[in-house]
Amino acid sequence: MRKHWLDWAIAAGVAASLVVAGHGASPLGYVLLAASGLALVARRRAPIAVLAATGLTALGYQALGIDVPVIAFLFAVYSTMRAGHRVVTVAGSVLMLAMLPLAALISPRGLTTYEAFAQTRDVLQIAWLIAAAAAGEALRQAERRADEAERTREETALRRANEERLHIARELHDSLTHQISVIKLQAEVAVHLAQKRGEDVPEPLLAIRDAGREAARELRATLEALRDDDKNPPHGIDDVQDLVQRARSTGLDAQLTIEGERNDVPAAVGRTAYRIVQESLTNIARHAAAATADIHIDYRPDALVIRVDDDGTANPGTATDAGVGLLGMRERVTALGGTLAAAPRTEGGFSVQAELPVAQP
Amino acid sequence: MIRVLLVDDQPLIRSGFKALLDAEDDIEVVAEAADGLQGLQRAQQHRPDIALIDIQMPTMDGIEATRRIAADPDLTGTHVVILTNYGLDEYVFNALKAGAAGFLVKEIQPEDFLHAIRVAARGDALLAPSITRKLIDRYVSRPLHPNGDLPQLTNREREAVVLVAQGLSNDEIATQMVISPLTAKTHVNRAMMKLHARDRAQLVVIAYETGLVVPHSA
Repeated sequence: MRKHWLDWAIAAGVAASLVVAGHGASPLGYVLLAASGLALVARRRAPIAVLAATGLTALGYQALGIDVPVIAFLFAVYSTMRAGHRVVTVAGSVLMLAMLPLAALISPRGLTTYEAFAQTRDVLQIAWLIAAAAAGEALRQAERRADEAERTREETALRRANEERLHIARELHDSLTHQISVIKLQAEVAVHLAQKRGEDVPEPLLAIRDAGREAARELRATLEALRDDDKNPPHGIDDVQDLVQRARSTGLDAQLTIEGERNDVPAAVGRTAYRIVQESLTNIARHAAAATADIHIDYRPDALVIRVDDDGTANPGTATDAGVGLLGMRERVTALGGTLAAAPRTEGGFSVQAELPVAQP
Repeated sequence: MIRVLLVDDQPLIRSGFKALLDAEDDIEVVAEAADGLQGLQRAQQHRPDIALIDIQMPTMDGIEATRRIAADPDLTGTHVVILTNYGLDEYVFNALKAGAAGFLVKEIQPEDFLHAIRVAARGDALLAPSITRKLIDRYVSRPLHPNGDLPQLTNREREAVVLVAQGLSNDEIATQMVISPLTAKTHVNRAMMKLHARDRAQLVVIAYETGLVVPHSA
């Protein structure tokens, strides 16, 4: 709102000073002078249009013989530069420098060519032109740096939050594991001793033991995944290219496609992505008898999606055998709150797709 | 009679294992301790055959306790078995390097647990050979002396060490090398003595670290 008001003030101020400087002009001359200044109102929204408007009106009043510096055009140069339109600014300025003497020549003042050029120097000093452009450029860069600093701060905060979440998950699993171990061990021992003595083991005790076993197994798998992610990941998403390259060297036609805007993902996500591709390529080499493999990595705003397709022997009729590799993948993906789909494709071959959520600022 | 020392900071874990062990005719729990330091003292008092030691404990952790027990000349007859919640990790690897004879995951089933205790007490085979090898594979980053040949060993001893690293027991080594079980045992014991290895597990660690056996992933 304040900026809006300031834009109007500048436009009105420039228009007023142009009109005052051009006293004694014809009505059309006053209109052009005022229009040149007032056009600046739109300089933030449409800087190029404003550059053109200020340039044309200036040429107009120069052609009418009104010898007033082209101040509005300088403001417009500053604005287009600040908006990042460097080429347009330079081209516009050069064009203006070329056209001004012509406008002066056709003016009713009957100037010689030499005088026309001299007047051009007065109404559009090259030094002022460069100063306006430089000011616009300097401000633009300062703003961009500030934006970048802001973004970096946000990314750092996000990474910290992700690390903290991992940390909490680890601690939670750690303490749970201790408690579950006790429950499971006591149940195991009770069942074992009862059987040893030839007594009937109560059903509830067996149920506790079985639930304890299952809980301990799940906790251990999740915790292993979480602890793995804690170590400095030797492999991340940037190493996927190497994996694909290695697969190619074994004769598999493996293609890596990366979609979306590449951005930093948390280490745990990157590592899991690497593992999924690694595990999938291993499975393909072992079982699929495939000739090609397509690896897609899609950076979406809220998730990283990894898909590995092959053209191997799997078909929708074959049952999905959840091998250790797939199980491990699923555990890693689940630990990160993601989903994994692994199944034969209708057109033949096998497909593994994982979606790993990436928190947003 | 196999005499066992239980070292774990969780009383309910100790009581569980104690109930399990005491129910066996040939096994007896002679002492319990709640941390590594207490465990070391009880070991010195009771000189058990097996010290079952948890890794994470207050005051002194299981790895340090293992190192001290292994270094104590009075405790050469005590085999340390590490108890872990998680299985394969670097703590377990460090415990093996410190002199543990092997490790057991706490979620092991009672029958397997009792069997492992008896194997560890005999001292002539590796506990969970395949898992031990996998563990060492994973944490031995690079051979210190690539293809080092351990010059202090004779050819036969070196051969025996490679077989130990593959998880074979003395009897199996005897069959492989076509020698008597007693000779196999002698080769293994001499190699252990020359390399200052306290246990078969340590022998395996040395075999990997010197490059006598190469990790699969390399």
